[in-house]
Amino acid sequence: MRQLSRRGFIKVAALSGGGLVLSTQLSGCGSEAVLPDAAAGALRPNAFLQLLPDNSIILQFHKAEMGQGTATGMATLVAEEIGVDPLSLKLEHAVNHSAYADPDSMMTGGSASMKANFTALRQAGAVLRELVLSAAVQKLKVDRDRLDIVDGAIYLDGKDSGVRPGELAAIAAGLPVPDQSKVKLRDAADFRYIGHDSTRVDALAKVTGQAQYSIDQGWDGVAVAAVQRCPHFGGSLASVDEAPAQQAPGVRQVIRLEDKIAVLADSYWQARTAVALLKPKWNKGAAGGLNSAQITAQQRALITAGEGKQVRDDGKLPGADANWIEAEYRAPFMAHAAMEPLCCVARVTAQGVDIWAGNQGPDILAVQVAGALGRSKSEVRVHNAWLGGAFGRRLSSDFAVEAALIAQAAGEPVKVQWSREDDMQHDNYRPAAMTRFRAAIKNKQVVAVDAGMASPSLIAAVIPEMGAGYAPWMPEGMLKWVGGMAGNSDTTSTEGIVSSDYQFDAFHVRYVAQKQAVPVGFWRSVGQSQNAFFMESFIDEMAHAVGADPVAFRLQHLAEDSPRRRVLNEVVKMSGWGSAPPGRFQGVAVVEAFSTKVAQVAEISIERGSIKVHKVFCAVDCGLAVNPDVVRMQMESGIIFGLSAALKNAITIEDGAVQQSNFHDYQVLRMHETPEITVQIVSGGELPTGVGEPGVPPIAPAVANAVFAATGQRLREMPLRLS
Amino acid sequence: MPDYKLRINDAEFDVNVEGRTPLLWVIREHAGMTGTKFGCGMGLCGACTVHLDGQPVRSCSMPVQAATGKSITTIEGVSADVNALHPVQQAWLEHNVPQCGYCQSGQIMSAVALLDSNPNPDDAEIDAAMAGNICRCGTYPRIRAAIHSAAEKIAVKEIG
Repeated sequence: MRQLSRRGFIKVAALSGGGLVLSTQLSGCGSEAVLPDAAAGALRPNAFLQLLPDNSIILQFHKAEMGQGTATGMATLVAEEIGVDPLSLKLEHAVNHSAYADPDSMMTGGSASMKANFTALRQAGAVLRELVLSAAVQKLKVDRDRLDIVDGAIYLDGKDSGVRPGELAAIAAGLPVPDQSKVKLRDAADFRYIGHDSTRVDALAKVTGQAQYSIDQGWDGVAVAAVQRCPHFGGSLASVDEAPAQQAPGVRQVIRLEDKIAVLADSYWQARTAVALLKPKWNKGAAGGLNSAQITAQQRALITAGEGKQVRDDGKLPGADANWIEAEYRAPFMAHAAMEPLCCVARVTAQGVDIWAGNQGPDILAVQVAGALGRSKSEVRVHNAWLGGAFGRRLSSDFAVEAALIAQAAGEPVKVQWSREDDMQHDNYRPAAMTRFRAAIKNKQVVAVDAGMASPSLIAAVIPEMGAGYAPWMPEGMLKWVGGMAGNSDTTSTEGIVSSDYQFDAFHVRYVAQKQAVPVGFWRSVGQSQNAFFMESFIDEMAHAVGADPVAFRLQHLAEDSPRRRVLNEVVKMSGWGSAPPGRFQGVAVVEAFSTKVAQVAEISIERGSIKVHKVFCAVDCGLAVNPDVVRMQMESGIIFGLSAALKNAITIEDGAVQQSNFHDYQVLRMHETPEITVQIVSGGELPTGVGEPGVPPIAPAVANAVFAATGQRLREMPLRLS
Repeated sequence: MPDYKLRINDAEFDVNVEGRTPLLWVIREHAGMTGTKFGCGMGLCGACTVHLDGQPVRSCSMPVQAATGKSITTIEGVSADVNALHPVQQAWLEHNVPQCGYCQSGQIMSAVALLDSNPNPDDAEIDAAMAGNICRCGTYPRIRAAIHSAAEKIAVKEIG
């Protein structure tokens, strides 16, 4: 069966007291000389690939697969260049190492993996191919030009020579490794896997229950911890009587940290049952009494007082001679609510620290854990796993730091298993946000747009964490760039509006970073997750204000060379824009996010007072579609994820704590509520852009605009509720 | 703590746990089968779906004491090995259903139970049977298509 090896698990089982088996020495792979996860007898020309004598090829997968298809994409890139089926590769999760920070780090986010690794991973594959073929030249005594690797076989003059790459590993080990930057890549016209549909490399393991997630890490006998955390953000543990838990069956120990109490037991249910017996008293901290209405009111006050920074001031706003329209848009805090609640196994010994957890940033996590424990980064090994969803949540290190602190305090390894309630109430939330727009109309033309935006700054929130994680290897210029984005210049909070390519005589944006107590983090499509709703809804409002068709108005205000025109025109064709069936109504939105262009038309009706989405048409331009089926899949995924946000859920705050706890009060879209989705890829070009996030932003405004067409109600707050 | 005898995928297990321990955790931690997943603990998401005498149940909210004497089937028991996948698993591969994959064991268990009781469901029947299984990656359209494909595969197999 093809699946990721349970290497981490095996190591723990095989070694007592820690330590890591390292058998291969490689130079020139970054500051650390030794690469982890070396297979015995492997030919390893670079950090990513190992060819074994039995002909198997191991790819060190250095990114996070949280559903978005990156594992399949990475496997496709290297397999194409080597000349093997991507499904034949054996994937292992790469342990954190500086060798994987090139080309772009081990972090997975911003829909950037395929774009950033497209050339480098192909080069890695081509290096292995050329090294093997150099050995074939020696063995078969023929010129290189007559040789190739096809379907995992050495081909001579276009025919299977009978020789397999694995047989050549020993010879190849004595040959010089080709220069990665000079190795010839396959011609795009010859691609057999890139640009073609194929089964995902993780599919078989995931339909047989064999795929290993965070929750499947650990070993027999490891302590399992359940935790009560202070429900009030920024609060702390005042007092607790530990006795009820101490006396409960299976309990090993009770560990207190500043703002939580953990019960370690022989099994999860024992730990969960025992921790629930505790009645801790909490200090509410500064956020006590805080609620969602106050946060919204503060945002409105900040915007209307003109606080913050002018982040866009194209052209001069007209005066009183123009006719102004105004609108206020709002979006709530959102939980990630990945299907897999957080879980982390931590082992802290004098020899080193091991963390087993599906995560989006092993480098960042290693630095954060090291900092919390007072250890050095090089002592922390982060063992990744498949992620049972993440949507940005597993980019935060909090859950790993917590597990490491509990393990250190307990003096034994621990598996910290979060409940759904823990996961929902102790998330780092998509920031609640507000944008107040004004538009100036003269002679039935919109001439100016003026936006005032307020939300907690993501970059300000994560800089202490990510900055520390990146600092050791991030180029200085980049660090300054990230630093410069903090606070009122945070483009992750303003993207989609500050960067909008709609053309008006004047386009002004002011942003104020709100300081408040609710922890915030990256949430699938980040600022665009709310800003596209704001911008694309207000564009619709402006169109109606001047009596224009929403598509015609967008085309009028998009430059001739706007990259969004192509997908907009395509979705108009696909959807039969303007000719919805009786009782059905259409709304449109078009967004550029993470360099990918997506247009969507939602076809809805109003059924018994609620919004029913029947069909969604989606046109996407993501450059080269490495695996078109994964692109379609991600558009479907983004639309359905975005519909949950558009129609269903919100996190609300009362007394500095989250009110929702599970899927009964934080509802998500289910199958019977899912529309028929049609995706058209209009891509082209030589390089890919990402698809994990860009499908999300357009759907909420497309639905809201359709609701306006159906009812005349302009819904300016997510989730959308008819009055 | 009492001993319970469980029959999981045609194998017998003796487990020593509190009777109210959810079947899910017994399957995962005591029987050592980790394909069945924990999602919500309240029977709201379906990630933990297993069969009890052929009926789909949410193992996260079923006490182990209620499962004794019954035949329990988990994702590991759906097919003998990768060369003999269940038609539902085959259809899942053909339609490239899984994304993060975490909910898919539960989805597949619900789909297998549906097709066992209704060999040719229409969309509304599929929606009704699958309404208890959440997928945050949004694989619903592919699941629905895959269930139709699996129904065809099973029909062909039975005629053949």
